[in-house]
Amino acid sequence: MKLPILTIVMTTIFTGTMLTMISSHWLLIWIGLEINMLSIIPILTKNQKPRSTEAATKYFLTQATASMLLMFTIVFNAMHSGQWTTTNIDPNNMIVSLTMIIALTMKLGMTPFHFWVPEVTQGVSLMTGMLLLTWQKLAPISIMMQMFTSINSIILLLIALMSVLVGGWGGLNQTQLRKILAYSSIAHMGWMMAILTFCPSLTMLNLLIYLMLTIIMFTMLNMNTNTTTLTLSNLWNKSPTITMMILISLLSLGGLPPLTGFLPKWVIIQELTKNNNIAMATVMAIMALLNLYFYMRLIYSTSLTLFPTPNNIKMKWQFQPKKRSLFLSPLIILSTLTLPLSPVFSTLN
Amino acid sequence: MNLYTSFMLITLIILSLPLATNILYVHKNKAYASYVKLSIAYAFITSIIPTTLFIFSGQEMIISNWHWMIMQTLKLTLSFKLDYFSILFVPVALFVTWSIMEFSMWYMHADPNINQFFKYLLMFLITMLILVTANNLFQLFIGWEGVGIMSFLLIGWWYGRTDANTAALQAILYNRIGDIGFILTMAWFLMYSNTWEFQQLFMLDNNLDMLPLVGLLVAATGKSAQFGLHPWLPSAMEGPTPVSALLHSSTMVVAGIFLLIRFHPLMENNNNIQTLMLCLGAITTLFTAICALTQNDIKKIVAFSTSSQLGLMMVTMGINQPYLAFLHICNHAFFKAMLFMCSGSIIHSLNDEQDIRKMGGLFKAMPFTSSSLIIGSLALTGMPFLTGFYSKDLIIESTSTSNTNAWALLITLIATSLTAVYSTRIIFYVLLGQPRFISMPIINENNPLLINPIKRLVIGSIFAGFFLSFNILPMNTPQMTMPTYLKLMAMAVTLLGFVLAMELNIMTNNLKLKIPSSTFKFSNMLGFFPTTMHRPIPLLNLYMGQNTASSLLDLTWLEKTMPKIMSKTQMTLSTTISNQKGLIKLYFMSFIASALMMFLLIS
Amino acid sequence: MPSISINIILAFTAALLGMLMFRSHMMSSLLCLEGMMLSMFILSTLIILNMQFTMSFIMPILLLVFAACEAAIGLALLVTVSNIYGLDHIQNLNLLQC
Repeated sequence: MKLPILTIVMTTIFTGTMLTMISSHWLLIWIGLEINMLSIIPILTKNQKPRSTEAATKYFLTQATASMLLMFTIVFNAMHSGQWTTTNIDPNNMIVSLTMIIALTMKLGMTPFHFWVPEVTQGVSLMTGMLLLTWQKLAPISIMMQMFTSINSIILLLIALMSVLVGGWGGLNQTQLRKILAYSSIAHMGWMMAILTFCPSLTMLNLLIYLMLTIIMFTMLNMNTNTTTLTLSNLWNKSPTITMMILISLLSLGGLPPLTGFLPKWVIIQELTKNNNIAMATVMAIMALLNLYFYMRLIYSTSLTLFPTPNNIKMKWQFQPKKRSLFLSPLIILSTLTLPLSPVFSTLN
Repeated sequence: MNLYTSFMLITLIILSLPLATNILYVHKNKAYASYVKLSIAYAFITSIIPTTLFIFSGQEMIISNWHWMIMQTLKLTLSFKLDYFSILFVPVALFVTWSIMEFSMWYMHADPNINQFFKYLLMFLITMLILVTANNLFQLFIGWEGVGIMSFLLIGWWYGRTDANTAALQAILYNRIGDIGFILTMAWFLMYSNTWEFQQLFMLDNNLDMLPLVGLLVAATGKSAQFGLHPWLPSAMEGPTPVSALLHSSTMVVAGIFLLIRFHPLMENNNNIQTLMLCLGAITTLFTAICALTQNDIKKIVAFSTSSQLGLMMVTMGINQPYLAFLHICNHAFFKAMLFMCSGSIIHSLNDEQDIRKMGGLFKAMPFTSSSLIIGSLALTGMPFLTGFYSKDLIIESTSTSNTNAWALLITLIATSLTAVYSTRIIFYVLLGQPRFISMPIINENNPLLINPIKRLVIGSIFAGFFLSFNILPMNTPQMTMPTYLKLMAMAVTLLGFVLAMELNIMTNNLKLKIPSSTFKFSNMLGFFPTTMHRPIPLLNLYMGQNTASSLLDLTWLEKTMPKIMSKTQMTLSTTISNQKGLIKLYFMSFIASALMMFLLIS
Repeated sequence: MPSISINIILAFTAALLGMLMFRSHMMSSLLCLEGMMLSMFILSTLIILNMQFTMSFIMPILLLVFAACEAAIGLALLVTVSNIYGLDHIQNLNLLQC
């Protein structure tokens, strides 16, 4: 893809999301989503392979359906209330609130509508996958945070719980790193949605940390184009430091205490417990163990075992990596070492 | 009167000096063995003084000189009880040990670790003295366990031999069974009497439950090798001969009987425990005497004779005569130590040959040892006016005149007769007849380190009983009148044993061996006791352990219920959830289904 | 609710069900998307006319614009898919199964 075209497409993607985030008129929100969705298709099909075409097709079909459902919700709401602003969603109107949740969760890829997430992520390249799992989540979550007071919380909690479960169990059976990260994204979406109706600022916190972690995970994987456990376990030949950092970031992503990833889990569990939702908090904490388990398995196969293949790339480590990446070290530091900053977040609520 | 405490403490200090000088590296010195021997001799001499005083004044006392600790209401002090038993036992033990030490300087002279050996022997003696002089259960327990540990180390002295290790382990394991009883008793006293001091225990209650008394009996059974827990004693012959001599004469095995003597005030009104002791002692004395009959190892015969004598002491406890039992302990120490030293001399001279069938005719080659052996055997059988007579005859007399059950009396009498039989057997096979050993070894018994201790003990074996029984205070009423046949009965059965054994030995000596009879097998295989007790019970325990702990608990409950089910569930769920076929039509169908379910859930 | 609204909502529902239910050709899925879009167009026009939302007259036009964009993207993907597989059967898209 040529640079001018890429620039235009990327600008359009960012503009679409920005439009969604800054507008309060439902039509503009929808237009932003639509622009975003339409312009990411060229990015997905950047390299012309059957896999990426398939991924783009699946993404397009799902997102277009979700957009249509959202449009239906908007028009139906306008028909009943005569309002176009986001805050004026009628929570008592069953059809409106439900189709809204369905449309947005379908866009986010949460559990009953999650099937496209691992497949699309698997079909595209690493950087595109990063875009898909980070930037594309922003617009739907911003909509949800604007109208969280009128969301049916029971359905949302149910969806969140199922997302956490599926995120844990689905990742258990994978060897492909992109699929593992996709399932981890599903689980993190579950955590965010679980706390949304109680304390939206915690959703924001979790989203921030999730974005940081996912961005550095994809960036580091992209430096040597690791997509499977096999290549990850041979990574120590090439760049031991990056291997180490990948492992620590994985632990942080799983939410192990001394690392930053523990922070959102901690405060979310605390908040849920405060709101008498102990059972939910317990199940989610237990399912976080599953996430940790498959990260630990990655770490085990990477650092404690030698893969049973002939190893003829031992000298690679002395060459400088060709791919440069900006902000890698500050992001690594932020995403692993900011747990001591946690008292700051007590001012959030 | 103050000489009492000071000399007793001097005795103990002198004894512990060779240990205390460890920091000066004296124990690396070649003369360390003679230091130890000398310190024991001096300790004996200083301990004579309080004993003499006691004989003349009859005053008992307690040294309580160091406050140890307080646990809630229980006060523990370091206190020594210098009463009739301890003040008489200390010089006897020191005298015998002195001889044994001197003997082992000869017997162990080629051992590279002889200094360590002497240190062990000394610690053995010291722990025994702690046990004897203890005034509370805690101190007694220290001595009790110390004796057990030191016996373990000494029996396993030749640790390169499997048999020695097995014997040491057997000793420590059987003693642990006895310790269970001891600890049970300690715990019981702690709970119900709230004290461990002897005086307070005896003052508080004389009508106890059976439980602590049975605990004491179990402890004594383990330590004194009574029937049931006896197999370690013959096995302990794997240790060096001085160890056997010390173990069997004045330390270790008499500790159990001594414990019962100490707790006699609690038992004298309890008929049940006395009957138990009587029957246990009678069974032990007969069983071990039978076992001694057909043994061929000279040390094993002597060992079984010890066991038999311990059974006799237990019988004496059973007829409520603790002072007689104590007298027998003291007398027994002399001749039993000497018997072991004689057999050690013979074994050493014949190049470590222990089988009596390969000896014979030694009365010409070793006249002094032979005469000592004969004197010791006669004293053991209770020949009149030798040491054994003064206690053994009294025991038989008081047994036969007391209103005890005749079964125990009969068994004891048979055992007494058998004592004479196996003593005759030793004398006949070892000393008389023609030599059956290889004529290579040079037989020499002229070393003063060998002659002197045996000489001292021979004098002891002849006169000690007389000396003791005519000087110490009569604590029990001796049986003054009895029918003549009862008076002569002990003598008669012993003589009968002698005559029978001599006849049988002479008659069967040249007979061709037939297939051994089952009676012979029973006796020779120690009544099949070790075989039946050491094999099936541990096997059963191991099987039970495997079945319950390993198979049932670990493999079934702990593994199947939690980890296996957990991993199976997770694996099933994981494969179910991530088993996508990539068909977007199906995904869309499931979208409809879940959306419909949400509608139903809300409405 | 006037019957015309019900009619159009039913049209939308039919198109949605068609999108979600069993379709063998990708073309028909795209057609269903168009159907949803058009029903929304008519419904919004109706609402705006009925409620006199004079400021929102541009909305149906915008909707149509995006419908056209979406149709264009969908058709482009359709072309690519049939270029690769020779068919536009949706069930061919199964390379990425887990």
